[in-house]
Amino acid sequence: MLFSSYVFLFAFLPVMLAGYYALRSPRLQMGYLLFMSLVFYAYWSIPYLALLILVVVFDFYLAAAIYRAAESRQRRLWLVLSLVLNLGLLFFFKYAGLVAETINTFANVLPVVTLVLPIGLSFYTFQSLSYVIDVYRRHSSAHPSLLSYATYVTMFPHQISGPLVRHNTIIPQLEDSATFRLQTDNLWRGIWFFVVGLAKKILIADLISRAINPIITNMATASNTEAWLAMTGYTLQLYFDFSGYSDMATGLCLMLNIRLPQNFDSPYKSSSITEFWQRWHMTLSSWLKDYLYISLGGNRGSKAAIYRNLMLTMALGGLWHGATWMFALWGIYHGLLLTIERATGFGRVEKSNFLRVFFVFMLVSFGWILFRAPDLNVASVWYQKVFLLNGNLSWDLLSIPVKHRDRFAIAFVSGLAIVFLARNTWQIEWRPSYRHAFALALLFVCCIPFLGDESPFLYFQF
Amino acid sequence: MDSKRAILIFLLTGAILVVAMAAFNYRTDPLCYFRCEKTKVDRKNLNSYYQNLQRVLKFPESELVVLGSSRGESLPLAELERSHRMKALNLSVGGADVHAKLGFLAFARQNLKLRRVIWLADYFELIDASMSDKVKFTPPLRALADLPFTWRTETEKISALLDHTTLEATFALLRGKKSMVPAERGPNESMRQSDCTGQIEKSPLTEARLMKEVGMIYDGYANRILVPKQNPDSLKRLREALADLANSDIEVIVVIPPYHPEFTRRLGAEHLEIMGRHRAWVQDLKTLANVRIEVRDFFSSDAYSARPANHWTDGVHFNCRAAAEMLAAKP
Repeated sequence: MLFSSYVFLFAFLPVMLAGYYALRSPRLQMGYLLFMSLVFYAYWSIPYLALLILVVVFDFYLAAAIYRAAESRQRRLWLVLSLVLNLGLLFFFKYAGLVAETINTFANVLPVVTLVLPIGLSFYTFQSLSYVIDVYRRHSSAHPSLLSYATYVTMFPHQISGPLVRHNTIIPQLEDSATFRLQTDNLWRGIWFFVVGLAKKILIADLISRAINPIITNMATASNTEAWLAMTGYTLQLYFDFSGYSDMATGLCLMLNIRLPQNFDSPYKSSSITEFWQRWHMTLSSWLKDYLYISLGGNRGSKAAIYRNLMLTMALGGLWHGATWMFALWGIYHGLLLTIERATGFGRVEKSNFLRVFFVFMLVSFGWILFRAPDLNVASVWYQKVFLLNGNLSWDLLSIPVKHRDRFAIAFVSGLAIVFLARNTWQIEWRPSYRHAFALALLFVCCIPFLGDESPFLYFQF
Repeated sequence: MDSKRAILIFLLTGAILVVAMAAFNYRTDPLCYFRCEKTKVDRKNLNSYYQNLQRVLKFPESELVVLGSSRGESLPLAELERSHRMKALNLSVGGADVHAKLGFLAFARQNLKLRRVIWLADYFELIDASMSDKVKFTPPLRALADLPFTWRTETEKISALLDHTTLEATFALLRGKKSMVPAERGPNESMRQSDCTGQIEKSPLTEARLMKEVGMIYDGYANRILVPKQNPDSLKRLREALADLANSDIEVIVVIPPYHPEFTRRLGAEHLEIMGRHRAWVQDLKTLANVRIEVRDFFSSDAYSARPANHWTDGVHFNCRAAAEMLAAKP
């Protein structure tokens, strides 16, 4: 069920909110939230719901066992079990095919089984795993209630595409009875976040994607102008799609009086790649730093060791997005840029300026080609056309269907203006007023005619 | 102002605007989904399927009908009439599947004295998943296609009240910018061979540009439209309908057009299974042939593969010249 669908907006959400606030006991309300979150997941797949429940229950009891265990050997054993479960599931569903295909290119010995990736698997396994690791590292005690833990992992706003939230951010809120009282200030702010997120997705990301998808699919025949438009268009589409989803998730949680961490902070205004990663998918960056980079040694050791840790973290972070070597390449590309910044000091910015911001924007855009291209051949043709290295230069726009051109142009220009000039959703204080209420209602109604097109969020595939 | 009041104003304004938009679309009903229980010749609308029914009522002297998808829209009708020596209607319309085409046929049989039917076959027409909203939502066509009632269809139809397609059609109808009542027997009504040749010669389509068009349309067809399997029940319905025509002394010509040669090559190389299903479908259609049913198989030959820009506008759509040749009467 997509947040941007009729069934979610006009059936699931009203029933969810009405039931949540009609019930009078926090425990019942939390149970109701858990139940509705499971319904939300089951709407996509009932069999894979069992997998989600399995991860939740196992990790909850494994964390409790780690917390209770006196001997470090035993603690380590339970941790390894949790790692095997979570990473094993992730590997089996997401990476087994890639490994088999890669081995088969050298020796055709393994069967390639294509499995349907359980939606949200990368997010919920990481969230659950971080809880077990925190208990193991004694950064947190084990939570006593399976209900609050299960509600945290499965909560429908962030269940499928994040933000990647930590247990110590959400569970204390779930255990506070004030969370379950109707607070109209939060509801208002939640509506603001949700509607803005919806507009980002429907009115910008989707309108751009309809124009650039045919170009990318037919990159071999695309003109140089189209290759450029596809690259910058995808740069904008990904931001508005994913940050739109994050805004909607934040808004939905605020409607339930739960605060999520910020996930995007105008990343395309960054003056360095280091800064970009502090502003883009912030919850994943912080997860990778805390649970991967630091585990690898972090900033300790020689310069070479630090650079190695950086490259490894970024490569694995890239691979987290999907089971193709293209994602790993994209991660390595960013790892290289970060390493160069660290080595040269370019990442230390005292004063931002437009040229620098534009330069970083272009570097990031070049990277998105690796992220979006289905394989190295397409990426290579795309790069040739972007850098005008293809022999036969051409400038037509034939690959963009005529019916999408006007809307694409409006969405593209608005998108560029917003990412460079506007404040982001978190920075805008949308106070309750007649004017703001009317404007928000109008924006919402502008989105409604496009809900029937139902295009999934890009991060659903990860 | 407090948050509570702002939320109330937001909800109230949102609800009023949504209801107003739905009411506006319902009142205008540009696509004839809600207020067109019967087919009326003068009902202004932008539903090409409903317009086909209007076309049948408006030209009752027609004896030949062409039933096809968008691929049949390039047909030069005057040339076809000259070749077959009878008044014709071209009921080809984008996305028409077997349900739509049999619906048009049933309506034509009720209202015309048919002597000949040309069935321009498409692989996708027997895939139920491709059924157009216009068949499901247009009341007279739905009745003709004999589709069962489902709640899903009803809810989808209600959501069409809020859809941007309907809203855009409403504005187009009010501005009167598009054709709203069918004035012609079909697209290219007065086109003859010479007009067609002139059109092709003036066309800016080069072989290179055509290859780009082929690539564009290939992706949607190979990865989406042609992926589902055909429904054997739909083939059975088609078989029965054509047999019934033959038994009623109506001649039938089933034309199986090819794809652009590059499209065919890629489909064979990249989607072997889909290509296999195409071949099986062609063989099935060929078994329909008898004294009253002629089956013309261009799919299995290499027709229209030399100098493609002379015959094609993209990977699946042929131009007026190829259409006129494939559908011409036997000398």
